[in-house]
Amino acid sequence: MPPLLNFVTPALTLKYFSLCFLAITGALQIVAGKRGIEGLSLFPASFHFWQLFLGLILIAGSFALFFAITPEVFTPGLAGSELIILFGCGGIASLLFTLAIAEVRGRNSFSPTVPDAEEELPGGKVALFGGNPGESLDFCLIPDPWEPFSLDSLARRLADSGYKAAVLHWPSIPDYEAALGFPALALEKYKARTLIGYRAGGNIALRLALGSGVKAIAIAPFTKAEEAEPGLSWLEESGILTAWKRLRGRKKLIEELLPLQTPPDSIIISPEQGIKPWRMLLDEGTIRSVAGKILREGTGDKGLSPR
Amino acid sequence: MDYALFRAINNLAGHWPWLDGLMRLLVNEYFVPTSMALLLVIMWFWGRDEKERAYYQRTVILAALSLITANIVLKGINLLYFRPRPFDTHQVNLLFYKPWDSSFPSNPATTGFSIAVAVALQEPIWGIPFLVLAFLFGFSRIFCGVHYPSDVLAGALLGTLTAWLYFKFSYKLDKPIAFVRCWLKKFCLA
Repeated sequence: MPPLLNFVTPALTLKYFSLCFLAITGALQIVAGKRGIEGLSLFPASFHFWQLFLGLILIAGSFALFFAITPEVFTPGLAGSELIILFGCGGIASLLFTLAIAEVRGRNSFSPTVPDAEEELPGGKVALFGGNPGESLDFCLIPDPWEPFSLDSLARRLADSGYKAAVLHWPSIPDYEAALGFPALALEKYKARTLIGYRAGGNIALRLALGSGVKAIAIAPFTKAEEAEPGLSWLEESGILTAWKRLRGRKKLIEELLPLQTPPDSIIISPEQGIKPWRMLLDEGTIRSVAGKILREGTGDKGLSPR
Repeated sequence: MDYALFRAINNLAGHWPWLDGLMRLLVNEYFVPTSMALLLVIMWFWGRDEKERAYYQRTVILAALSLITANIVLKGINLLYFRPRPFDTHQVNLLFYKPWDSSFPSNPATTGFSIAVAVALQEPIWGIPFLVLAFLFGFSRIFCGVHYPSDVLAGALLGTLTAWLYFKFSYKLDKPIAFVRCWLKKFCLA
């Protein structure tokens, strides 16, 4: 009985596997560049043109190389099932390679913004930008607990514009009580005039604004629990290991923070408006657009000037 | 008529080296199937949001199922009926090696059209490159002397029929497709 699978020769198998590996890596770079998927990108987000270029070169180059070094293509060779298996193996290898490189690159490109001062409060740490411990603030920034440094660069920008801002950092992923308790305490102590929250932080900001009368700006808050579920969109923000870490326990807290109640004076900036706040660490253009929008809408009509 | 059409196409071989080269690139088992599979990989990740991604990924899964089913049916037909290749019974311009399996229906045409039609029925714009590749794959097999036109036509019909059946009854696969996507979503891959 003939064998179920016949890979003909190891050399041919290796050559076709290499073609699949390189071409699929190229295809992944094209989609990562086109759709801005950080977790599949071999280059930083600002190198989209080079990603597309690399993708096309990898695909065209791998085909050219394969046909140049494989005269066996014109002799009886690999059949359908062998091709499918090798394409699958090449795809898995390419995906693992791309995910690993993107994860390492994402971690290495992270450089936290250093605050001017910090103060420990029960439940967390307050990072001050343009102010000192105990002084009243213009802005209190509440990041998504799973992305604690996502608003630091915005806080630095606000401080550079003459405002006093603080970012709240929980020591670990908070439960519902800690998610609301620590920001409420910080708000009471620092008497901020405006709260800015990102993702789950946006939901928290809106909750706090309901009771305190403080103005809230929520950047891409969660509107339904399904948004906290895993999926490809998580790779738009980070590498895969970071995404898995962030997803832990997330859905429960989001469900507790819903339904979204909107105080009358609040502003909601949704990702559908073309802003991707998670790029604030990565993309200077988005920092400008988000900070510009917040400064215009958060301070303009009420005449909020720096303290 | 089948043989006359075969002669008309196969007689084009050997006149223009560039055309022979192009057909030799298309006729082998590697170029077209790998290109189609790459397009499916791109399509899988192409959606801008969850709704679009779900639609594209459903299309990719249906195309894969259509391919598998069409090939199983093809193997069954091959067991029941054997047709010699054109080069077995006629003098032909042969630009490829001599396959030993049954000529009818054409395996490459079945493969190409089962994927291409599955994509085109769901997403006509994406379907264009797939259909072009499938057509060229089938045509090159006649040009290079390894299939009769009727083999390619039968393969194209088999692939089209399989893809159409999956399209028609795809609603019955909603739950399994959702299950596969849900499982892949845990790995942030869907």
